[in-house]
Amino acid sequence: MTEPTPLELMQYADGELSPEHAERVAAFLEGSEKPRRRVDGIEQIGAFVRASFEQRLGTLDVTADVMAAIEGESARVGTGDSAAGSESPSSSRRRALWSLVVGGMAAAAAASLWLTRPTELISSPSASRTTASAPQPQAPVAAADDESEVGASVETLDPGPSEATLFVVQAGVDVTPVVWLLDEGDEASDRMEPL
Amino acid sequence: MSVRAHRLVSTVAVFVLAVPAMAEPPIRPSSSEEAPKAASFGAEVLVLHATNAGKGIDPRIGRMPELEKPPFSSYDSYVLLEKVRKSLVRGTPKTLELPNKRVLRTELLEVLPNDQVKLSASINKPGGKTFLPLLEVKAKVGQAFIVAGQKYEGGILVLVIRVVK
Repeated sequence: MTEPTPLELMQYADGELSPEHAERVAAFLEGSEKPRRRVDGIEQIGAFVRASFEQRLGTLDVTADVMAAIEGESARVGTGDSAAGSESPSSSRRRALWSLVVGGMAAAAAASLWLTRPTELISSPSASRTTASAPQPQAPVAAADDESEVGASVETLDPGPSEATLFVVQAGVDVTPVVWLLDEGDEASDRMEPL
Repeated sequence: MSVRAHRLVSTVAVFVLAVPAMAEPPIRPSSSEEAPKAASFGAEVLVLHATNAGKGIDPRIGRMPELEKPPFSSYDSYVLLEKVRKSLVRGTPKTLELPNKRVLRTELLEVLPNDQVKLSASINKPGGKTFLPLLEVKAKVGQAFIVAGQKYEGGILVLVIRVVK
């Protein structure tokens, strides 16, 4: 087998290759030090990102929020809010009409947002390449606290011949984007050292 | 199709056509948030050397809680090697030679309203070979981004690039 591409190595590390393909890559790695070190590095970063994400998930109390919402709804029904029960057919139709209108507006707004997105975010091959190779680091952004200040944002990243991972570090309310380069050094001798 | 249904479809169609037009008003900053002059912005670059030499964080670095978070916390020593400020002028890239002889190049791409700028950064190896061809970042004054991972003398280089005014 020819040397696996960086993308194949990432897919291998993430367990996304077919069993046959993974077997071929594994066989190659057995006899080749450099790609094996690269896979080790990818696995280290993946482990860090997963651990960070799980740590954040641990601070979210979704169950409590859902239970509070259910209890609030039960209390509203229990205190005799009978409007829903005695709703006339005409008001029901009006509600359906408004639902449709509001739904249409939402769909139009979504379409508008999609059409007016910055083209560089969706057309840049470099940006899409980075997103494809390292989607997991984005997760902590979604799980960040609501009070987090929106920090600087990376618009385009072209790591070139090297490999890069894009993620954010949250310290208090500050969210700082980080580009971590997988530098093998000019002599390409040492293993990656972030963790 | 009944008259009622026909009206309903017409109403939705009007909204579908109208909302995109409303969503994209002409972008013209008001006089109070006119884009500031490009020359007033700068990039402060902190070149840090991260190792596990057991020396802690150099006090000259200042407050940087990010260094205490993973993956930066996997290094216990951060030394400030260099702190420079480069003015950001559109069309005039600024360079900084890094300790590993690679060259960091920053350039102002755009001045945005509300003290925001869009800038690019790249790193070249000696001899002109590109190491990090392109990184474009949008940041507000005071906000930073970090480029880390370059090997250097038993550790790594951590470049903290902050937009200043």
